[in-house]
Amino acid sequence: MSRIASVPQVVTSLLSEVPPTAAESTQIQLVRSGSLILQQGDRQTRFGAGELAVYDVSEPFEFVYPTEFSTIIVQVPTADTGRIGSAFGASSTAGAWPRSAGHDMVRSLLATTDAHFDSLTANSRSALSRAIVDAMQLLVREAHHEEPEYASSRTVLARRARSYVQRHASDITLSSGRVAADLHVSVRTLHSAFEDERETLAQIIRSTRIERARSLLVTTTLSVSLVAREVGYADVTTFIRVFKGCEGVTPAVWRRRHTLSASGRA
Amino acid sequence: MSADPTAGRRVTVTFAPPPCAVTPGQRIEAGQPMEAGQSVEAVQSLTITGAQITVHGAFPARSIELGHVVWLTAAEQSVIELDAIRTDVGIGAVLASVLLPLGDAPVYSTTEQDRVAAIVRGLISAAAAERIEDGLFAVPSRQMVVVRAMQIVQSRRDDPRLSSQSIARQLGISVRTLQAAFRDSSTTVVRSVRAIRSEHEALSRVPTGSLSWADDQLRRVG
Repeated sequence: MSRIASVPQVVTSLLSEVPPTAAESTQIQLVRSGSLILQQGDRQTRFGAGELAVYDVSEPFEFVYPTEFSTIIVQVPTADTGRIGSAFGASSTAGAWPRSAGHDMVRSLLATTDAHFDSLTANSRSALSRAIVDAMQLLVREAHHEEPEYASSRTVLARRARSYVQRHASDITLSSGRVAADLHVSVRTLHSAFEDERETLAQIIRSTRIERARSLLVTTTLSVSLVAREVGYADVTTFIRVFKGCEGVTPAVWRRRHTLSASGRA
Repeated sequence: MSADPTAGRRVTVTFAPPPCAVTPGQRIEAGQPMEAGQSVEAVQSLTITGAQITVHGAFPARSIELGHVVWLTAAEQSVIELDAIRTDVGIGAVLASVLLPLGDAPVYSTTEQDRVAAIVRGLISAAAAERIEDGLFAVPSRQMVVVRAMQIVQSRRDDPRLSSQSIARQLGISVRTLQAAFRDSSTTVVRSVRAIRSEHEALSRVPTGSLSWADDQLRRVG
């Protein structure tokens, strides 16, 4: 990543550089001030302050900076982000450009890297580099405007089951059997979909409920038995046992600690 | 029965009014806002409790849900939960700037949510490491080992030679100490490496296909 200002000409290299010989790279420029014109192939695109230019450096390109400007450039090997083809990006502060997760991420990451770079430790800088590469992948995927085809039927089933659990977590009759029946698969198929996942379906149901309980305990004054009911436990004793298993303390103690630490901070 | 520390969680990001008092001496960075309503200066602090991230600042309260690819080891979680994260310096500033635009973003697709969540997860994990480097909090040494080891795992996620031995060597500790530290976080080195890799692999695959959307946008802009 580099920071370039036209007057005086200062190029500050921030994150680790990609060798200039790496032709298979993608560059992103976030224009801080002024404007720049990118010429690639027979296209010419103008970028103003706050806009994001994304282009493949393996195709010949030229930049024209008509006025005094300042820009932030990041170069990432195409192998890490996927191919984007020719210049395709600009994001407008005027709002003409559709908001997308990739654009938001890349722009925020570049802008804060620039503003806060000096306060970052070496480890934070490398974490930030990874985040930028990941955000660029997101941007590239959005450019392809396609649902990923990699999702296997197992992954899709696991995802549908997760989403079902999210929607029905408070239902006391929620079980693997219910999920299987409503998704029209056998319990066996459903369980096999979770073989490659980090948790089993039962663990997902439990963690979703406990997660929701934690949120209710902090944000509401509902009694523990009402919270239990609210997150799908018919029996408060079971709820307390499961909660204690996950958090190490009972819901009441957990709530006291978390509400105390919150007010202690304020 | 204990919770799987590498279990994914759906994360809720809540944008709340500022807490009663801002951390003493906290400097609110004036910065150069890239877009109205997106500047970090509006964020005053960041608290993370479990899967609940609260961004305190001068904006209307709202809440969004991120995908399920957010998980931390128990050690990282404890270190993060010690105190609010400063948003005027370091990785906290980066984290705040990434979270802030999410509040008024359109509803992302599930895959997008997962990717955003994975990026946020990486930054939170780095924030835990930063807190340890700061040395402002007394953190048990086993937690320190896990937090540092997770940074190594993430920076070397593509390295086929990544192993308990190489992580231990990099940290200057014995493999036994490393494994004991992870056991303390109710997980193992192998499991954590696998979780980081599978998260990265699942999200980094880019489908091949036409660039119709890109060309479309270029025409509109150019």
